[in-house]
Amino acid sequence: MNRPNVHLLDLPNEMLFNILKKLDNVDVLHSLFGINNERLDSISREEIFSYTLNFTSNVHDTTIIDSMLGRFCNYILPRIHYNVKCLIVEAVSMERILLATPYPNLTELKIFNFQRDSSLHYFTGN
Amino acid sequence: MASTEADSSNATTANTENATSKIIKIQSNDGQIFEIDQGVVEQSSTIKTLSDLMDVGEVPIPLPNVKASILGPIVEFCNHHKNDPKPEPLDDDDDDDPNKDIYEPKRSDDIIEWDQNFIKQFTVAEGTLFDIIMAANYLGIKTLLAVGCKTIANMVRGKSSSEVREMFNISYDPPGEGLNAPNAIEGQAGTVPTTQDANATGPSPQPDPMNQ
Repeated sequence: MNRPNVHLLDLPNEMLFNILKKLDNVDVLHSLFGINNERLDSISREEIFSYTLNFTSNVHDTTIIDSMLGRFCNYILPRIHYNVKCLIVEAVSMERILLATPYPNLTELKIFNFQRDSSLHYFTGN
Repeated sequence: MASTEADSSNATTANTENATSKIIKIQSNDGQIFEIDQGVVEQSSTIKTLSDLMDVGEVPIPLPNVKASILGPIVEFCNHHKNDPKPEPLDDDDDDDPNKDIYEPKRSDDIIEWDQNFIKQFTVAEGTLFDIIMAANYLGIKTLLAVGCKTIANMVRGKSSSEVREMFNISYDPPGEGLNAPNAIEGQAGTVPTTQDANATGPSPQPDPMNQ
């Protein structure tokens, strides 16, 4: 604390986790996954930041979700899919997220703004 | 009987006043001495522990990990908050609580206005924002630690990794080192196994569009 220009990475991991726990997991992955810094990359790959992923508009601004989804589906989700246990998705983006990669440990799927007429075919096979 | 009760009440009041008005001295690592009262002491688990253990008297409690330019504002923060109602204890390890509402957005937007204005004096560029966080952690001042961590979380939220790297001047691991090393096994990072799973049936992971 006596050195000039103390840096973010001077904080111990305990403090970095304290900060990141204030963020939704999707925000953590969006901002730190693939940041090309070994320590932050390693932290972002911790299980706790992948267990539950919430892609809904009640947590994130809609425009931000739209810009995030491409990178998540093409790059991030395939690399953390094994840790994902719960997905919270909007009906309109559900298909894109679920088809991005297999989720071998997925046990919960929550669908927001489910419209019966437009989404029922997913469950009936029609 | 009445006079006994009155004497007892007066004694209790006197004790309370003495506790509140008890002044102790703390000293930063660069020698500056600050006087604080018990209302401030109670907010810092470190200072409270040291003052309980030491028969301080007029001797200042040394705080070797905090310089005056940080300790001064911290005293100001604690003086402002010393009449706050005591918060309910938080369980920070409730991420595995099955009853926790997972729909509840994680909060960092609930910093009160005074605290927002207070924390603005500390910046990333000067490193003082991290100084205040480490000092709050060292001193065990949970409210200030929360303000600092939430402030950084708010700066990160919504930013791409390249924007975060620029904002916090984060070093770029050169190609060929660390996770960028040839034949680096992804499973070495945390507990995430290799994505080259023989049983995987999904599409192959694509390169990061943010780093092309």
